[in-house]
Amino acid sequence: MMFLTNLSLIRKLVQTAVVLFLVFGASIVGVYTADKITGAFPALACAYDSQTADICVLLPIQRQSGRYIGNAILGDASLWNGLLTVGLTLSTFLILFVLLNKAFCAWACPLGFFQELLATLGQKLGLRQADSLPEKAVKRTRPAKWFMLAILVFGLPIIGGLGFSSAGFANSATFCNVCPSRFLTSLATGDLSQFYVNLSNPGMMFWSGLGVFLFGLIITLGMTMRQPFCRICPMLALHAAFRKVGLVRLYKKATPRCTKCGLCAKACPMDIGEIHTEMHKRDVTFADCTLCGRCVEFCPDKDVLQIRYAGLPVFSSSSAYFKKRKKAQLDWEKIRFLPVSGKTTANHNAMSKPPKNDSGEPS
Amino acid sequence: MGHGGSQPRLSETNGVEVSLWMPKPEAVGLEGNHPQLPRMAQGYYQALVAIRKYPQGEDSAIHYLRLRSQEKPDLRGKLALRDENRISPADLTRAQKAHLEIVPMPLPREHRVYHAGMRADFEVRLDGKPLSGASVGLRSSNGSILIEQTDSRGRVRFILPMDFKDVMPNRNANPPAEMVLRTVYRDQGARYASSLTMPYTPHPSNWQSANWALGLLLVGMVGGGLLGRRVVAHAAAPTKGRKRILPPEDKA
Repeated sequence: MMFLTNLSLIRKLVQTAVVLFLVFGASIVGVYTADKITGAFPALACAYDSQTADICVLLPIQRQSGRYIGNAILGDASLWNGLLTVGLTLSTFLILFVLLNKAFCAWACPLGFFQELLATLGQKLGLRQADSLPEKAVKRTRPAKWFMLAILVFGLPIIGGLGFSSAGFANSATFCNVCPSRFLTSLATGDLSQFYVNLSNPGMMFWSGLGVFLFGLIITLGMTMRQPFCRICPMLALHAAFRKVGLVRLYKKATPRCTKCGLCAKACPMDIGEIHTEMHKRDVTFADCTLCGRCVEFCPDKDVLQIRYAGLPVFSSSSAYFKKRKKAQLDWEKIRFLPVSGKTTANHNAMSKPPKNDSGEPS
Repeated sequence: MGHGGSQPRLSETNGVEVSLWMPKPEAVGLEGNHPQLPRMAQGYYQALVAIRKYPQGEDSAIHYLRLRSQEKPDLRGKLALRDENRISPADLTRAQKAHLEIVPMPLPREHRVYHAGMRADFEVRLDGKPLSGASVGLRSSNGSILIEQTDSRGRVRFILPMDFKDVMPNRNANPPAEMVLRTVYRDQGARYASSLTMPYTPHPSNWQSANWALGLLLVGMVGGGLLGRRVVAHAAAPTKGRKRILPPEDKA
């Protein structure tokens, strides 16, 4: 396959460049907060990373929710001022978000990039990987991101702002305490200062301990399952809330050409089964979609799936692309660090051969 | 210049001019030994500068501080609509505030403070240009004294002294100590002296544990491995080629 026509490859190159800039870019844009590009970036670019080039929108939202809205509810400040402050932070986020929509997740997020690296490492090590999660498990997991957004990003900081911060359970950066990106990006710059359990009080001990535990969980889980943290990420929920205003969308033309083969759903790293079952809606940018474009790549039917920018198709499914992409994927998956045993398999793409069971038959 | 609790304090006031840089200077009056600081100021960081001029030189004392900025809702970062919200601490550290000055490199930004055991870099500038070979002394309010020399780039590095006693297991429960860096430059009868005063806190290891973190990381990794095995065992069986997967309504 031509090097520059492989969408996944292009995405990974862009993602690598953006992530390197976000994690190490302070030397370009300056080390101080006021030098940051937006201070409300729509991906997990961590403010606790001393070399970061921009700051994730979730940090100012938490701080402002606690400081302004919490105080306003108490009557110590103007509620209008508080809502306006949070609103303006969201506006900064939206100025960027409109341009790329949920593509910030798959094309710019350091934590998403890290999880993809883990999955690649797992595949190259010959670990057996989940092809796609059971529908029941996917549906059960989906509300978690909304709880994370409502409770950790808005709820607990506001409760902390109201003064109910006893024992440290409600504080002004509750989500940041558990966010794996804080550990990832600071460790990436050689900074160990964020890798700790805070023993100051039971609340901080709980949250910081949970954060480290979650980071460890993701490291190993990410090698056998695609994008484990993305499924519960509050940024995904924030994106989902505003996805109708983004210019980049995933479209589906449910013409008779669509044979409901299910390859698009299998290719999806977020296990969005609705992509192949949806036959009525044209806009299939679902709440969990990260606009990675894999479903379009692995759709063999011409123009059934499209990525559109402001309504104009920029990448469409086609039989010819599908054949080349399938071959490229199979060739890529043949490359392993370790010899393949009968029990190991990697199925991170829609076109992998099925694993064999102990008797040597396809399972 | 001393921190003196929550309010900066000058040890001497005779012939001293005090200004607050944010990043442009504004004159500040004195009440006794205390500069009369405004309740609010522009930008996130400011520099309090005290200068006493002589016919053959100058003494300067600089202290970086964070006064509360006015609460005016705005867009964030470079997208900010108000000029004062686009002020960078770099604008403050870059500005020449005295003939001779010691500049933090960098000034610890949000989420960071100077703490004991930290490697802290500073630059000595004479008339805005790095000064190599200058001797810089650090004296802490806990009694430590360190002396280093600037390199060819005018930079000097200190490992901040671990000199706190009876530390409580919480950063907020421990009042910060004060460090004063001081350097003197003499040339052809002229004498310039400058000091930089900054607070620093005890080492975070008094309330943070990396060992606990390492233990929980390993527990998490084991948990992730076990969960991963379970996920793989319950994952949908892969399909080969273009096998037709019917939606629920079609199956019915």
